[in-house]
Amino acid sequence: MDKKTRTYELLVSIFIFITTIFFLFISIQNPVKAPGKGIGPMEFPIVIFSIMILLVVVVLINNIRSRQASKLALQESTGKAEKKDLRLPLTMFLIVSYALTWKVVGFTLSTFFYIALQAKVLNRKSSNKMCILISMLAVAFVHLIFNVLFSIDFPEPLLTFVLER
Amino acid sequence: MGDFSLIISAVAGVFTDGITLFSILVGTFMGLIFGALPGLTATMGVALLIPMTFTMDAVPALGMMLGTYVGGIAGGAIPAILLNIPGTPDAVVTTMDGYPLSKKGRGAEALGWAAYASGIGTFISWSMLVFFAPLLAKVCVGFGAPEYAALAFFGLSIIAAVSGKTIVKGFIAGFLGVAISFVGIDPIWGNLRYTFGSINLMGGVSLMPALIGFYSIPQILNSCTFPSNPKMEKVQIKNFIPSLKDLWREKFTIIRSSVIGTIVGAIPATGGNIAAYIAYDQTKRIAKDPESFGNGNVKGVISAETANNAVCGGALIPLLTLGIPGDSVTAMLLGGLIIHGLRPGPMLFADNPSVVIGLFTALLLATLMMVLLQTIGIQFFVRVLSIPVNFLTPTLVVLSLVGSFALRNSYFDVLLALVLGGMGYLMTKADFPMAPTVLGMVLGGMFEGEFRRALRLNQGLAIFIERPIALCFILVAFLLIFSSIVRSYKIKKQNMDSN
Repeated sequence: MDKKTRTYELLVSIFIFITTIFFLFISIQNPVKAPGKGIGPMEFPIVIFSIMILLVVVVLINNIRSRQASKLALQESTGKAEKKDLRLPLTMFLIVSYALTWKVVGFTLSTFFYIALQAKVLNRKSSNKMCILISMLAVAFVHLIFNVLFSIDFPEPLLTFVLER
Repeated sequence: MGDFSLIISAVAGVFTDGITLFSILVGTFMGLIFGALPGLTATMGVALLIPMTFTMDAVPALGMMLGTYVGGIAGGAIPAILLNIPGTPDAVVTTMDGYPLSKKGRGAEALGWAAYASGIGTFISWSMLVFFAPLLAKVCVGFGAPEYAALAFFGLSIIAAVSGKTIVKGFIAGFLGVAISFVGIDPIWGNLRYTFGSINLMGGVSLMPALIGFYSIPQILNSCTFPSNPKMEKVQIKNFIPSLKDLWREKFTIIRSSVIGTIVGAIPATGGNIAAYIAYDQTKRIAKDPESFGNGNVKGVISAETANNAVCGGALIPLLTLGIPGDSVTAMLLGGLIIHGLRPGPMLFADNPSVVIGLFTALLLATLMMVLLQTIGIQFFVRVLSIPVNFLTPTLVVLSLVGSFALRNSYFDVLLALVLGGMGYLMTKADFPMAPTVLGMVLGGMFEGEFRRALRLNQGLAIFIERPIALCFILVAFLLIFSSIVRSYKIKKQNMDSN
């Protein structure tokens, strides 16, 4: 396993560990015992969360052990610095911003801007005209399928405000 | 199921309904595109198409998904042959002889064989599905809570098998899925669990945003840094359809690979990749010129493509009769069935026979359409390979988020898909498999509900020993878990020895 994967593994394991402890705590705080031989609503989750914690601890121990083992190897290797690709963090930022602007700008406008910007971010050589054209076509397609055909109403606060005035 | 008039009316219903025919055609077409584009899979295709089917009736909706499934697996052969990049994991074996054929200038021939072999493979597995599924369902129709609980436990044990070498991580991912299924109203007592006072969580974590979050978003993020338009071998698409004489000559390869594909597909947690490997290996062993395999032998393409598509019919046997998804695509199909108010399992055949017949007919039509679409439009699917990633990625993001929103018109579901998508992305980067999470989510609720019901009704765990079918499922599940642990340990030891 490479260094990057190990770091992700550590982060994810710690996150799952903390979350599971939190949920286990909630489950223990709300015990509802079942009469007879049945089991209550929190008993099954308690078992599952306990097993999860044990398994995550196994992964964490393995991760720390493999880190120590690879330290020597790392010291020996000269390792070239990886060229940073900004497309991924920018894509993540754009996706989150896009979802958040649904409620503010509205679906149509935010989709149009998102697709145009995202296309440009992923390939800077793409012409602006092409990005705008594809973006318009994609918005029209989504509207045709979901809005016209399936009668799904998307949030459009800005357009509604402008049209009502 | 014995009612002949019911069969005739259900089959005729599919053939004469324009919407059903159109949705199967669209599904198959989309599947071929998803299969042809490296980085996108049939699983993602089904996940993205589910929202488009919300307003449809069950048969056209599921026909569309089945079309995507069949088309998605078959489409994977196109980049495998032309680019040496499998469009889907199932097409890895196809690259072995497909690409060398392409380099020899026989790419068109390989594409033709891939399309027709896929079609025949799916047709033979469809025949087995139609024959065996009703028989199996009849045997299982008397299931009670203990059998269903044992069945769900068996389904969950598949987590061990699909986890590969990272078995502990697979279990964590699977239990995470089970934990997600806890959110909402308790299935027996009706108490609210882990909703934190949110109305949006009272009905549980909606399946659609979860499926999209765990499957589509990580895949989109992983593929957004792919290089655009990889180099393609030049191919002249003409006279690529295999003649009847050619098909007859390869009959044994096709039948053998179809049977292998169907059997492998019916075994949960195997999949098209394994089926293609086994079929390829068998064909190579029997061949008079085994040394030509790997250097451009058309039999290699035929066996791999027949077997990986034959898995479709085989995988539907446990899904429809027992409600057990064998892999991620069938887990997605199970999600689609549930969203349309159908619970796969023995009772599906008893309660909704017309839907089952409709599904069988839709699968047959999807197979025919897949071959037809490739026959008349192979040029188009080859051109699909040059769709720029920078335009495809944002379109898929929009479809994913719209899909999450569409089921309940809920903005909360969009945010949920994003959160789970972020989590899924980090998990894939950390080498956690995603299929167990989906299996856990889909089967976790069923297992908990039936298990607790069985305990309440029968006053104790002894019921699982007293009922032979339940006991059988539990034993097989433990056997599966044990063998997976042993296999994982062996792989780990081998890796350590080689290091």
